[in-house]
Amino acid sequence: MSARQKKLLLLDDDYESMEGLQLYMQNELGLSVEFSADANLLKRLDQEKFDLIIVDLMIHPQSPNAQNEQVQNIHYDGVRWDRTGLEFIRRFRAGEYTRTGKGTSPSVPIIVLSAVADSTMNREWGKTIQSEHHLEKPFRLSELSNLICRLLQE
Amino acid sequence: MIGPADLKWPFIPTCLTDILDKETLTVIESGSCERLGRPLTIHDFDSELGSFAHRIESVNEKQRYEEFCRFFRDDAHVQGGDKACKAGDINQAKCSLQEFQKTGEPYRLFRCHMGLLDMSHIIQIRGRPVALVFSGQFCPEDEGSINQRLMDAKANGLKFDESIIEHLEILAKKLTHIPDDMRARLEKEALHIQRIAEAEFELRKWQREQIFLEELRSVAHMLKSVDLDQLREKAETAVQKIKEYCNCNYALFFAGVHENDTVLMPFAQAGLPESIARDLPHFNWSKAKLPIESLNVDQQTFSQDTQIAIGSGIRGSNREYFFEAACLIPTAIGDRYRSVLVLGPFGDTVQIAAEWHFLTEIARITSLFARIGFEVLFLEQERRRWKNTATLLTHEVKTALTTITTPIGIARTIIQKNSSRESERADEQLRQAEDRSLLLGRITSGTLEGIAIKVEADDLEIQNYSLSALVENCATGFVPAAGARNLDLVIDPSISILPNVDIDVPHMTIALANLIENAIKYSFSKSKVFIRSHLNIASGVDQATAVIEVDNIGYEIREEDRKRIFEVGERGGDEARIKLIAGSGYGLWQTRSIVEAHGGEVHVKFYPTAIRKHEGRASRVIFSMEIPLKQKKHIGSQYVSETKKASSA
Repeated sequence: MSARQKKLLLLDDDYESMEGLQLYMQNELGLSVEFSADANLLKRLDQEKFDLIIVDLMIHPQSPNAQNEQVQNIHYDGVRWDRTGLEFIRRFRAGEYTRTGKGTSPSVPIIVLSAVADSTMNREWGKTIQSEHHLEKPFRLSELSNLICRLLQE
Repeated sequence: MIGPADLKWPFIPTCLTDILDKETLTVIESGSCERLGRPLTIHDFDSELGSFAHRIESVNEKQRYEEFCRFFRDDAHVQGGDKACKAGDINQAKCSLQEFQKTGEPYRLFRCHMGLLDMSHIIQIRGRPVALVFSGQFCPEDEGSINQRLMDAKANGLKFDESIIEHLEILAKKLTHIPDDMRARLEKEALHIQRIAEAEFELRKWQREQIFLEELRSVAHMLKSVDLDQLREKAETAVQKIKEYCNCNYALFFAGVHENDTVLMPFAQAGLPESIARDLPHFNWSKAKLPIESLNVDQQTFSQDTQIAIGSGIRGSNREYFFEAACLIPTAIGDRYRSVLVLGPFGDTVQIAAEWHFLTEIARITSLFARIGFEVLFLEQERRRWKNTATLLTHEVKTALTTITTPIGIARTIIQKNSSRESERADEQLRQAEDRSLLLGRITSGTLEGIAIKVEADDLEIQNYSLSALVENCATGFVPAAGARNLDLVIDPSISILPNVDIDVPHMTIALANLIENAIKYSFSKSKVFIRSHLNIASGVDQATAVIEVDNIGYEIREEDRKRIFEVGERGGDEARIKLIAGSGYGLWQTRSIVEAHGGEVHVKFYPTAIRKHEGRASRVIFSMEIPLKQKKHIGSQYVSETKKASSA
């Protein structure tokens, strides 16, 4: 199977700003891209096989999508909104969303793509993402594109 | 030391030898005998006897005893004579003490067992009789009574023959009559002894109290990251120490949490029954009729009337429990931060008025620590709020920039598919736009967080404070953290001689804490972190500065990183290694910002060390902050250091 046929999950609530990236990855990299931070997405992880996940760290409990409809995003009780992505990674890596073994492997590569990715790394609670790949927004598209291709070929 | 080691505060001695040793007393006695031209003996208080016991050694000529007395007390002439005189002294001493306790009169004139005129004077320390002096050996008005007493003495068992009686009668005739000024002269001598004893007592008491005050100052070590519970715990440790030292039933500390609070909350207590401690009253400063402005604790005096008024400030639950309190000590820092220390009944008799200065010092230290603790806490909370705001703003700005860079990147991808010259030129233009957008994104977080943390001179609240106490307390607070990393945190003795300086104590505590925290984080395990200081007076006394150094051994830092180490968000050292150590890269920037707001400077020096077996290439790193000793109030509320003014001039 070639990289162009692979499936990518873009977990981000910036529906407007990331739409261009979604189209780019579909059109130029030939990927199947699921772009959402919708809370219902978590169930699909146990049913669908994603080859790569791109995660934003700061996810608001709800935000408007491209059609200006309010989306109920992933949210964890007792976890601040700006650490939602961190909590998702911790739980995903622990296999919490992939109990049947039929869906996405908890060991698929993750790219942290966030406005605070670098500074988060330096904080005590940033240890969760220390072993993940990360790029800080705004990013150079070619850099992200190269990283995606490399990870999907590995 | 005053008296036995277990003697409790306020260390009032039970006897004179608790204060002055016997050799010294002998010297004092000799001087008094010389001036009086009469014998003078000091009788120390004997706790077992409950009175004064004779302490003087064998009688000799230098003591100017009358020949009659020397002869009588010589066992070779009068067997049992010396013993009878000593017993007589003890008996008279007891009478003098009873008289003093009854009337408060320290002087007494009486006749000895042989009928001679004697006098005594009580020596007191803080009102407690600790010794008694005897003098006299004068001829009584009825001279013949001595002969009669000689006969009585013989009849009572003293052994001496007729020739001795005759000789004693001759000696009795040589006795002189008491001069008119004798009382005044004895009182003067007693006063000399009392003054010497009191001075020695006050000195030793002061020394012992200073040790406690130092201990109290170091109880509540400052840490940068504190929460209210930690702060309360530290305050309770201090209050517990006060209770134990002052030997009182309980200690309760009310503090105003915020500036200008007049209703003070019960913040720490020790020794209160659980039923009371569970539901403590508060303290209303206004109801206690304490002044809102200018409460100068040094000028406050103790009186029962003012204590009753202050006591009325205790309001709410269980207030009646504190009606029996021994004293209530109000303090105010800078007219704005108020506190009251309440001490329960003392275990021993304490003259509170005489101890008031010491008690207010205790209250002031407790108050100051609580204050600094609150301030550090508030500053940290404020900093966190600003940081969160900065993070949110960073997110917003960077997300917006992403909507620019992503289309640029896509456009470049499309253009790059054509290989025409025009396409190359267009791509070059887009690359520049992309680079600038990315650069803008990179500097956004640093700029915003840097602004959030930055401290300006206007933000400072300057007070004259012991830099020595600040450094020592702050450093000692990190000893456990250093121990957890197998580091030895060495506080150099040079710290103890740092002077008072004009500083914002909470801010400067944070500045120093950042340097020490940094050194502990990046030091090699099992190495030492030194904290030392020196004064720099090269530019004259008026522009003198205090330099505090934090010296440690850690990984080498690249030359290009060294220059930026105090910049916003910069963390020096190997990237892979740094990832393993938590830190934001804002601590040193914050330190620099605080020190510069004080008109000071921060420096860092690196010295390569020998290559280490496990860690490889290493550096000795010395971070230092140089702080002007004096701040000069400039126009408005801005403080400008004299150093800065001088250098800019």
